[in-house]
Amino acid sequence: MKEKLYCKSGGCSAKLGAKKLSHILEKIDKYPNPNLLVGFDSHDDASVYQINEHQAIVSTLDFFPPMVEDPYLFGQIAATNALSDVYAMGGTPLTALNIVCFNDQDDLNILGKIIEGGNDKLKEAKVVLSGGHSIKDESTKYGLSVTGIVDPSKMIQNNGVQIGDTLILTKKLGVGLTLNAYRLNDARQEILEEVFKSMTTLNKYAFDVLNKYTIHALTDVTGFGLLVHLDEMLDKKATALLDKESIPYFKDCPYYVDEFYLSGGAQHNRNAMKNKVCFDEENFVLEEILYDPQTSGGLLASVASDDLENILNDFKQAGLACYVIGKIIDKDQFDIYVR
Amino acid sequence: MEILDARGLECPLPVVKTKELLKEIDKIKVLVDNEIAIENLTKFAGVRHYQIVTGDDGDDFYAIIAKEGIDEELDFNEKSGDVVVVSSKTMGSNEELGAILMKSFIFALTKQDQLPKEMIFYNEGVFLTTSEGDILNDLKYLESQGVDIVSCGTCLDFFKRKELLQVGTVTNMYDIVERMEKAEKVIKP
Repeated sequence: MKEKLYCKSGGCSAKLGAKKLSHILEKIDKYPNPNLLVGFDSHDDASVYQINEHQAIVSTLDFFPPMVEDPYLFGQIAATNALSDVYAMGGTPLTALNIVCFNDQDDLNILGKIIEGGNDKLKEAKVVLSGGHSIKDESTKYGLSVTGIVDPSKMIQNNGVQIGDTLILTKKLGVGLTLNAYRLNDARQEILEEVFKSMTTLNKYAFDVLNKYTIHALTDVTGFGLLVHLDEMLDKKATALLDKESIPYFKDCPYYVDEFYLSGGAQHNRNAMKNKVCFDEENFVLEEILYDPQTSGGLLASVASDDLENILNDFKQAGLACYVIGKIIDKDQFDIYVR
Repeated sequence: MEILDARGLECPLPVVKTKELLKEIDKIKVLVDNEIAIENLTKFAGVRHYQIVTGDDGDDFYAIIAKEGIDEELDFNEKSGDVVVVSSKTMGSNEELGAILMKSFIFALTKQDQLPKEMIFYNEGVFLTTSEGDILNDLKYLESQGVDIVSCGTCLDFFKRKELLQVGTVTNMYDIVERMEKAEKVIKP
């Protein structure tokens, strides 16, 4: 018998809304420590703590309910997603701890497959699994806490955009929409395979290419969708101009939008961006794709336009996808224009 | 009206189920347990150019969605409507004539294009909801057409007629006050 997971609202769409979250986090009185370079106060991907002149620890934690039925695949996706936050800080992941919630009435082989999938991705990233914690729970959840290292002078925060930068994205959008269709048995196998491949592709490879250049701002696109992640990048200091013709997405997404396979997460993201985005014409499909919560999405980088040609060449040579989606301009009335 | 209870379901299920049902019918009331689902239903209605009315009753939310062209009916059923208040067995003071008039008043009500939203019976009015006859048949017809019929509980007790109630439900004075306050207009025969 094939072990199957029960999926309800898995992946990064299970994230709490950004608005709700910051409301709570603002009130937390944190112990001040000047060595903490990146913490709660920023909207960054991981925390960074400086331990000496040239080294800082990057820590991150990510876990969620299953979004696919295959436990091995779920493990791979969760690990790929958790590792991504370290790359998004410009760091190198070194060790990882498993976080497991599992119903002890279920077949333990399922859990074995999940952890195996996760570990295989860790090995691919040359990261050592160093422990973990498991608790009994009614529903399965899995993820990892990853620890890495970064030279503080080379750390890449998500809010360093410069006017004139070009925005590039390394994976297609529409993971959330496709997973909704998958849960409703209305996704084509070939699309699913493409999406699963994307979700299990380590952002390490894209980062290795980008790391040869000066990256002004970097983040990974996950539950908050492209627009909210981009808005955090802009940090109220600049405006982004997105080229609607260049937004990459999985082929069947317009159909999924027409069928209203829209998650609650996408609506949360839409609400968070109220009055911040200007679309030059009504385009419901594109809007939903841009608000769609991604699980294990790609890297979104703001790079000097002078480097663009070389970067694109390098991506091509490495056999990796890279999409130019827009540019950074002076702060305008709206945070983001899509035209 | 068809009701879809989508409480406990996560997006996109409430919208997807609504969409499927609207292939067969023109109008639906959807119950959900979160505001995001209401926003998704609103988005759905907007894109499809359907009519939508939303609201909440404290914990849960509802949306009424209808295809084009029946917004009048929507307004009538879901917004405040007319309330008929009956406080006597008769219409006017002469008992014999009043009984005949009341019978034809209730009958005439059944023939209106726009039925009242609610009917409230109190004092001797509760004799109409507790006695067999032509009036009762007309009231049952009105109830079958969606008219909400209520009788005052204190009055039923006073006349010892609680067990005889034939149509509608029992209510109290708070509810009666609220219904009359919300009414678009109160009609009293």
